[in-house]
Amino acid sequence: MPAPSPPMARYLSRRLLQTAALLLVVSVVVFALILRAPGGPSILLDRNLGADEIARMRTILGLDQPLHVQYARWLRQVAGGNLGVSYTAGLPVREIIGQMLPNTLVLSAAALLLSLVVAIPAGVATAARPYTAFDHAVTFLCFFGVSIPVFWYGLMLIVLFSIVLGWLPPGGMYTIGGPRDLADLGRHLVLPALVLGTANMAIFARYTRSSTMAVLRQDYVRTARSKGLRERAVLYRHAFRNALLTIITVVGLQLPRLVGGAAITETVFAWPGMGSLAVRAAFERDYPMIMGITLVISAVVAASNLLVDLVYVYVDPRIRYE
Amino acid sequence: MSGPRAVLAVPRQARGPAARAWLRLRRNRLAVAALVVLALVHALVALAPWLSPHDPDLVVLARRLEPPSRTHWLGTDEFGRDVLSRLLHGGRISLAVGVATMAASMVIGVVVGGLAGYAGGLTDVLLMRLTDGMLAVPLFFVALLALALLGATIANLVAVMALTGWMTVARVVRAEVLRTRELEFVLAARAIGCSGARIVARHVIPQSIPSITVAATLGVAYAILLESSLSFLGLGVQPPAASWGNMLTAARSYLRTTPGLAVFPGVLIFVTVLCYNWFGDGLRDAIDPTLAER
Repeated sequence: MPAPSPPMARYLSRRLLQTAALLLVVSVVVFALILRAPGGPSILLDRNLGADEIARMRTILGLDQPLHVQYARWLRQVAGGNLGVSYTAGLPVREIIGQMLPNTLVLSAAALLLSLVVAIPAGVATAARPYTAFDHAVTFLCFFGVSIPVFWYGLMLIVLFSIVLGWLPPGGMYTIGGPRDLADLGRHLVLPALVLGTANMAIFARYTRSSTMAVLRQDYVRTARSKGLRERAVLYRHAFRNALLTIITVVGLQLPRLVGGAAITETVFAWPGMGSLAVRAAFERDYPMIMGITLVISAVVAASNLLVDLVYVYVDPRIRYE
Repeated sequence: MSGPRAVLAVPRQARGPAARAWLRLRRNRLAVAALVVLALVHALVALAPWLSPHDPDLVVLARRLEPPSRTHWLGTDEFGRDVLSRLLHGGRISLAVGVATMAASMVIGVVVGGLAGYAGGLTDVLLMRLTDGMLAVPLFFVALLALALLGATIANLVAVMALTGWMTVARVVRAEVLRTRELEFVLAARAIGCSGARIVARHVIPQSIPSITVAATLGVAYAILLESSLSFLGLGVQPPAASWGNMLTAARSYLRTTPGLAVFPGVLIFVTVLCYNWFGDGLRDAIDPTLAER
């Protein structure tokens, strides 16, 4: 990447400021939610603890302080790069998230890649020959893709490919006791990536089709055809490149949902990631863990959205942030 | 001029937009089929107390996980309860939660979108910042946390899903309001001294009812899917009450021995959501034919 020009740097700093504000708001909301909710951390529900011990632990954890004092303390910690210590695991939150986040990113990236690799050719092909049997078939499948309940789809694939056919493992990231290599990871990745990617595949295919069709009606496409370019070149070099902008926008819009969907997919396939971690932390009322996960997930989504904005500039030379 | 003929032709042309949309919708076979299936599913589920062959909550441990038979058409579950009866009763809860969530998020969306679009200025900026901000956050995580912390009652479920799902409607309504608010009849209403609230409620919002209807149809589909996902994490409708989502979750433990248990509720969710999506899509094309190209 070339060095950012001054206006670009200004744009970036404004966006970073907005992102920081967003994260701050999200953290306040979740913090208030946590501490206003009835009940307390599961570690304080231990029956072997006496009332005075529980009171002492609450003091140690700072839970007896007013809400804003606790929040200020948490914020000071975060500013110092410390997310606190998990109540139930007894380990630093940063360390646990550091182990789980890459797994979620691998899964999400694989799902995103898979959906784009299938959706873009399908969308361009249907835009080139709209209202044919092929187009109708793809449209039909797209409706299936956005309507299927994610975890049910996952369960049915497990029944088919793992239980009946025995081709793929039903869950986990690596074979226990097996070689922790890329081939093994790939085999474990196929089903969850497919499940997580299907809905987006359908959405991306629809948008690719509609935006490519819109571009195909433009004059310069007629010009390209009339100077005798092959249809493939017209489609991909001329039409698709302009349709790509819409697709990038849609990808950006779908990112938060992709991460949300990962939570379910991870639970179905026993994938050790942020989703399953969040579910457990929420049930155990592991406050530092919940706050850490919320912050990190929101930051990752915000960062990817920023990345999407920067990709525009490189895809379309007409776009400048000034 | 052929006078009488021209006069006769006028009433056909002058039919209202709703009637014309209905005519277009009727020509869309897929949308009509989806509507018929939806009517059937809703009717079956509404009549559950009369159609169910058994008490959906009656536990007969001696008859656990039975295959389909003449007494239990779809077999029994892990507590010996009749699967067909539970599907019918569970459908009532699933669909009711879906429709209630949609209704609540429509109310929030219409209020936010209407206010932003009509008031303009700072109100608009702030409300749209809120909308965009919410769309940029992984809300499924927030919903999951909220339900785990506050307790997964049906009321909380509907509230959390509505509070995280109103943004699309707000944007649609705002766009419609921006389009409508400078039209002549709105200016006329303002000229005769109608209050802002009255203008929005009586003149502007009704103009966006077609778009709201489409968003509502797709919203039900989304809410049913979301409830089933939350159920899967143990955060949806709580057992022993049946919902399609939690029946599916319970069936997960018996995938190897009785896969049928997981098939029925899954197919019902899938078909219902699919039909809502198809119908909503057909509705959109019927209401605004220029969109059909997209």
